[in-house]
Amino acid sequence: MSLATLMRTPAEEEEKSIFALARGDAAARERALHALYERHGPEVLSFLVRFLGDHALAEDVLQESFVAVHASFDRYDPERPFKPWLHQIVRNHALMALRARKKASGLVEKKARAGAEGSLDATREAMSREAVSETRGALEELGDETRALLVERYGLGRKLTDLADAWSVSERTIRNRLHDAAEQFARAVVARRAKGGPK
Amino acid sequence: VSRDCEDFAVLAAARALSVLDEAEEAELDQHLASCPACPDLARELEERLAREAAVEPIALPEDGWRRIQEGLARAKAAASAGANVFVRVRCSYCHGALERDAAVFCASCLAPGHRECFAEHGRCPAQGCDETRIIEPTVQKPARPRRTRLLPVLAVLVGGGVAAAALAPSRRPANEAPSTLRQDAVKIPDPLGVEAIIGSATPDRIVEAKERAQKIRDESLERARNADSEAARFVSEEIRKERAFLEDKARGGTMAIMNGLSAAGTHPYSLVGSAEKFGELFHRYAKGVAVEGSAATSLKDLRDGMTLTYGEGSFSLDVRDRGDHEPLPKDLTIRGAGMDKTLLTLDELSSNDEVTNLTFEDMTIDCGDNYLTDLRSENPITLHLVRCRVVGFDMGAGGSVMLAAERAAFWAEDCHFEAGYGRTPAGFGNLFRVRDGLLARLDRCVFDGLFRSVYDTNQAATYVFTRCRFENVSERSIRDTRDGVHFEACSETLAPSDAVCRVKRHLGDLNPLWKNRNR
Repeated sequence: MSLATLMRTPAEEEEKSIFALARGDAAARERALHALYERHGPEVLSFLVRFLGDHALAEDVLQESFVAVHASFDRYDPERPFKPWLHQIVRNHALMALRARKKASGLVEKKARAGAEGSLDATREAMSREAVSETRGALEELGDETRALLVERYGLGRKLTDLADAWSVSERTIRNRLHDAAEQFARAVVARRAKGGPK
Repeated sequence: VSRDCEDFAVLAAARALSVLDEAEEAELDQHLASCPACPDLARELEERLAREAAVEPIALPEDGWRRIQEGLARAKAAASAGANVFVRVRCSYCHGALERDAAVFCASCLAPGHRECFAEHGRCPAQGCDETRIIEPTVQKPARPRRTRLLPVLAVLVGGGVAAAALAPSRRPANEAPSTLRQDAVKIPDPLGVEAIIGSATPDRIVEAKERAQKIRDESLERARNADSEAARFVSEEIRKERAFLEDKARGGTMAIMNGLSAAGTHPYSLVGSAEKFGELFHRYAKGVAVEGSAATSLKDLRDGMTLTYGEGSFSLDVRDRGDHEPLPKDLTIRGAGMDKTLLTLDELSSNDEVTNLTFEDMTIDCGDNYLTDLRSENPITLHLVRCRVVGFDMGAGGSVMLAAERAAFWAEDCHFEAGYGRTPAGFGNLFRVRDGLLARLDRCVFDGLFRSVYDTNQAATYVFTRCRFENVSERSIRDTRDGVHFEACSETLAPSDAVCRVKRHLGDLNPLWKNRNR
C-alpha cells in the first residue's frame, strides 16, 4: 500500500468508489460513467469548445470521449489520478476531430480551387483567405497540440505535474513545450503588431 | 519593438503561463521598468491570452447523457455483431479509415496512409521516419524458392544443435532430473527430412547455418546454467523483504502504522499533526555502539543501531562507499558536536532499499552540490534531522532538490534550511520533490533565503510546519498552498518581490575554520 493511497482527498476517495462501481456489471459501469460525466463533463466541454471553436463539434467529441472512457475502464489504474487520464482521451479525440475537419475542408477547398483556376475568382479567393487569416486569433497559428497544451495550462490552470501525467512526458518537457508555445504565441502577436493588423 | 524586446515579449507570455524561473522573472521586471514600449506589449499579450485561451464554464447539454447512452448502445451492438466485425487499417496521418485500394505505404517503414495525406505532410508521418517516397501495392510475385528451403534448414539445424547438446554427457549428478530445456530438445520431431534438405542446400549456407545453430545452442545452455542461481537470488531477496516486513509489522513499526491508518480510513493530518503519534514512526528498536566517525573507515562496517559521532571540525562521508545495493543499517544515528561546530559533507544519500530511522543530529550538513537524499524507491523511508543546518543543495536550475522521496516520513526539529550555498544559488533550490508519498513534519525550523519552493505542491504529500520561521523567502515559494500543507504558529519575513539571490554564500561565513571547504 502506498502513501499516495493514504493521502487521497475526500474527492479522490469518492472517485475511487466510482471506479469500484466501474469494476462491476454493465449497469454499475454505466452508473459509474454517469457519475464521472456529471463530475468532469462541464470542464471537458468548456475545454473542447475553446479548443475546437465549434460548440456542436465539441459536444460530439464529448460524447465520443466518454464512450471511449467506458470502453477503457479496464485499462485505467485507479491508483493514478483520473483527470490526466481523461484529458488524454479527450485530447486525442479532439485532435482526431480537428484532423478530420481539416481534411474535409481541404478537399472542398481543393475542388473550389480547381473550378476557379484561371479566372479572377482565384485571385479574389486568395485575398479573402488572407483577410480571414488576419482576423483569426494569434493562438490559431499554433499547432493543434501546442494549442491544446496552452489551453490546458492557461485556460484550465492545470499543474505541470498533471500535464506531465496526461501527456506522458516529464515535467521538464512540459515546461519546455510551454516555453515554446509562449514563444510562438508572442512572436505571432509581435508580427501582427508590426503589420498594423487588428489587435 | 526591437529584436531584444521581442525576446522579452516571449518571457512575458511565458510568465502568463507561470513557467518562468525567478531569475527570468526578475530580468523581465527590470526590462519592463526601463522600456517604454514593452509594458503595453506585455499587457496585450496577457489580454490576448485571456481572450483566446481562457476557458469559460459551460453547462452540459440537456441531452448529453442520452447521447452518450446511445453511443454506448451502438458500441455494444457493434461488439455483439461478431460476424460483422472487421479490421480496418487507418491512415497514419489523418487517422481516417483507409480502404485497401486507396492505401499507399511509406517506402522505408511501410506506414500506411492516403496518397493525399502523404502529399500534404511532405514525408512519412511515422515518428522518426523522414522518407519522402511511397510505394503502392501491386500483384504479389511468388516467393523465391531458395528462401522457402533455407528457413526449414535453419530451424532444423537449430533444433538439431540443441538436441545434440541434450545428448552430450551431463555435468549434473546422476540422480538429478534433466532440465526442461533438454527434455524438450530431445522431443523435437524431424518431419521435414533433414538429410534431403541439407543435401539440396549450398555448402556455404550449410556452414553458416551450422555456425548460427552452434551459437544459439551455446547461448541457450549458458542461460540454462545461470537460471538456477538467478532464481535462487530472486527468492532469497523476496524472503528477506518479507521477513523485514513481518518483523516491522510485529513490532508495530512504520508499515504497521501505515496499514492501520489505511484500515481506519484516517486522514494523514491526524498522524503528522501530532508530534507524539508522528514520533512513533521514528521509534528506535536497535541499540548499537557509538563509533568515532573520523575513525570509521567504511560505511560497510556499520551495523543496526550504531551511532557515528563527529567532533568539531569538517568531515566528509561518502555514502556511496557502502555500495549501491547494500541497505543502510537500521536506526543509524550520525551525530555531530553542534550546528556551528561540525560540518559534514555528504555525497548524495541514495538507496534502493528501506531506510529505517536514519537520524542526523547537531551538525551542519553540506549536500556538496547534490541532493541531501535521493530515496526514490518503493520502500518506506524514515529520516529524522535534529538541530541540523542543511546547505548546498541548490546547485542547478529548477531541478535542484534537498530531499527527493517516493514514500517517506521526514521529521525535522530545530533545523535550519538555508539557500545560497550551492553552485547556482539564484533562487533555484527546492526543498522537497515527491513522487508518490511524503509525510513531513517540521518543528521550530528556520527557512532562510530564496528557495524555488519550500514544499512540493504534489497532492501526495502532507506537510505540517509548526512554529517555523521563514526569513527572506520569496512569497511564491510559500504561497502556493493546497490541502496538504499546514502552517501552525509560523512567522515570515518576505524578500522583496524583485529580490534575486545573486550572491553566493560561503561555508566560511558560518565558521571561519570551514573556509577551506568553500567551493
